[in-house]
Amino acid sequence: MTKGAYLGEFEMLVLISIGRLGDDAYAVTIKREIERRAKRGASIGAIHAALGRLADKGYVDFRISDPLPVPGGRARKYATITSAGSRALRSSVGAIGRMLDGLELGVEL
Amino acid sequence: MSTRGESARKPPAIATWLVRRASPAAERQFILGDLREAFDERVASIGLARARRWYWRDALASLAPLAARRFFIATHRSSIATPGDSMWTSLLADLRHAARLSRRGALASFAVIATMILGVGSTTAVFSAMNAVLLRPLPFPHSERVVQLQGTLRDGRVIQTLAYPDLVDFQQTVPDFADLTVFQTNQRTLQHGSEPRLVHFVDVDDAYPRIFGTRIALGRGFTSEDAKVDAAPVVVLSNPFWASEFGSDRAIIGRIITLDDSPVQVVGVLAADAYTFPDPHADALEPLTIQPNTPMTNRGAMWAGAAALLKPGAVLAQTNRDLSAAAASIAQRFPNANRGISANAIGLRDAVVGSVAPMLELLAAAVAAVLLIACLNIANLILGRAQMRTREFAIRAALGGSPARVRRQVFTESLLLALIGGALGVALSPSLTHAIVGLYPTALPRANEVGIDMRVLLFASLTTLLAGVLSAIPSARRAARLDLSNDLRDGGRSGAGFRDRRFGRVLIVSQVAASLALLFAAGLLLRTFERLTTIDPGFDPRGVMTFHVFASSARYAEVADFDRYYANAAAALRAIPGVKEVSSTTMMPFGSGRFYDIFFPNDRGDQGANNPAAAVSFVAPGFERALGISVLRGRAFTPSDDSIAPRVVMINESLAKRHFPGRDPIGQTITWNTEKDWRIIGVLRTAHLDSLSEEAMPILYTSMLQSPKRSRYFVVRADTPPDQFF
Repeated sequence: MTKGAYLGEFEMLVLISIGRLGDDAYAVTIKREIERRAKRGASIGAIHAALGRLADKGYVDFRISDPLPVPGGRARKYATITSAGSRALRSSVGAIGRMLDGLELGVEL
Repeated sequence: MSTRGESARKPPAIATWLVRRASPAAERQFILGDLREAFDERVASIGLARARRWYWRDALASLAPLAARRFFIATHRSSIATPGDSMWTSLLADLRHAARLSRRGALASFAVIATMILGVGSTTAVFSAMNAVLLRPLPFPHSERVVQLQGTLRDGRVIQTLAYPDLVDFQQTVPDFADLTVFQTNQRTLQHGSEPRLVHFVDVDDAYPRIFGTRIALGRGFTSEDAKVDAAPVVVLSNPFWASEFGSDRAIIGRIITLDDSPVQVVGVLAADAYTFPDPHADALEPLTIQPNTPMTNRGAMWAGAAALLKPGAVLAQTNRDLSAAAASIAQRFPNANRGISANAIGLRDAVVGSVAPMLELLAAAVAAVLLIACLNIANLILGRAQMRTREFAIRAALGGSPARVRRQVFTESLLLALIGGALGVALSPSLTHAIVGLYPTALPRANEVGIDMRVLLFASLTTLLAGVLSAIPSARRAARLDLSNDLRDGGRSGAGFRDRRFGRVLIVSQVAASLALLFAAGLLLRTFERLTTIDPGFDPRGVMTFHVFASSARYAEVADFDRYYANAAAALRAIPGVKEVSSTTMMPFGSGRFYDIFFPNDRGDQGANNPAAAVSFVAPGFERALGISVLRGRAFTPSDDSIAPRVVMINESLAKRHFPGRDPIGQTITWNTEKDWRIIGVLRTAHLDSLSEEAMPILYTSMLQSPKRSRYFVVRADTPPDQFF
């Protein structure tokens, strides 16, 4: 892991969710994914703030959808991982994996 | 009802308002839309009341991260552009931030800018001078095809003059010569106004304006009639001389002026940009009159300067082969005068600037080294600043600043400093160029053509930009390789990693190496200079003043007349307080008045073409005391060595060693100037005449009282400082 590719835990969760959701990753689905899989709460605002930070680092790109075909329908801001984001994620996860390697925590990982 | 139901299913307005206030403007609609979408899903699944409570919880949990994000964008938008901003907006923001930082680190910024000014300013100045002096063609048409002809003497010495009949032969036999001009320089005294003034002339033939493109601004040029022996004397003034001496008066044409006490008519004025060779500062031109049956037309009398225009496509090497062949053929036909004499041609530009080319090239190499040191210095200063700011970079990265953005910021900062330094350097370079030219106003040929040109400006600007970009690379690498936990904790204290330290060391070592190389080169130059100053020139120049006087035949017709004039002048000079010795000579060391002639020791006999040659100097009694040349053997001239006394000469040590090896030259007789009975009465120490680094030449001194000359240099040794004396 290079020093520059630093990812916070929450940013890592958001990136993983985007990866899992593919074309359907926006704050609502990301929130749902984190709550469902990581069993932890994540506010819409926190997810948006994390997305902003990840975009600043060049790890995610955004695509704005057409307005939904309903009265008052709004546009959604979908996120996708960039290749730099994938690399950063891989190295962060790899670092954690290597740190945990052979460590007895008494819990099943 | 349905409307009320719709409105009743809305999320809590206050919570929505709070989120709206906390959200960054650009994100607001998406954040609120997503919240609303999640709320709607929950209304459908868990009911309105629980959905509203969820909404409140999620909105409140969103406030802190959103506010932090909004604060980050707001505080960095002015200095750090965010994605989506236009290039110019982000560039402006970067520049503002860079300007603020430069003010904060004023000392480091000042050091960078000052180094840059020095580097760029001196580079621009020296390369401007090089461009004007060495690279640009001389300022007249087809100058690249013009060559100067030089003579080679028996001892291999190259001189700038040749014999007139030889030149006439060369013009006819060298096939590459399209045109050939013969000229000589001359000095005369102008009597105009209250003070007489020494005027520098070039005497020119009718081919001269064709070869040097000399144009006339006013009046006419010379015709072939003007060069005839019995023609009325005429003169063409240079434009600067016309302006300084006659106030650019257009009525000058046709006026009679007095030169050396003789009336001369002004027939023309040269164009302001007219080029005069060999003296670009010549005050006037006059027709060159070849007097038949005088030394002017003798073979072996090498007095004439010459330049030729080559035919288009001519190759200099071939021209020189033809010229050597022509000289060899002349030497075969006239062995007494021409044996061992040859000629060669060099490009006019090399002839004009050849002597200063090594100096300018050395200077250019030195300033290139200075620029390199400047760049290294800047890189070091900027790297140092970047290390001090590690903590700032770390905070930015922690708050979401991407490495690319931080890199761009670092580049903008160093570019800003380099541009300011470069702009000031370029702005100052005209003054620096002026200063360089001012250092060598007479020694630097083509000094009047030196100026800043656009190519040099472009070069300097590119150098600046390159220096800015290159010097930012190490800092940019540093900014992109952050170790957040360490950097945030330690800040600037231990920010430098191993690679940075190594890079910094490489920079310092390169800087010191380049500085040392420059220092050694400068030291060697100084050493050479010091050795030149410690070479004994053979005479003592301290306290010696010299000036040239020409006693015109119009005022002093007979030898007795000008002899009396010079005797009176010498007596008047001796009466000046502080004056210790006054004498005169025709040939000053490191001055002009060279005259070479053939002689032979009588005990060896006439060897024809193998007779030795020496520089001949006509000197008045006391010359050796005035110039501080010691008498090694015998005695020096006295006032009694006059025209009725037996003929006597002095020689220098160099001549004694070469032509009287192993025997005493005192009392020996020589044949010179068709007279057989010149007795050697003294041997003087050898004085260098042209260059300290060249071997001193043999000199024959003859007494001015026995061979009087109209044109003389007074040599005055005095305690008085020169400005006070004059």
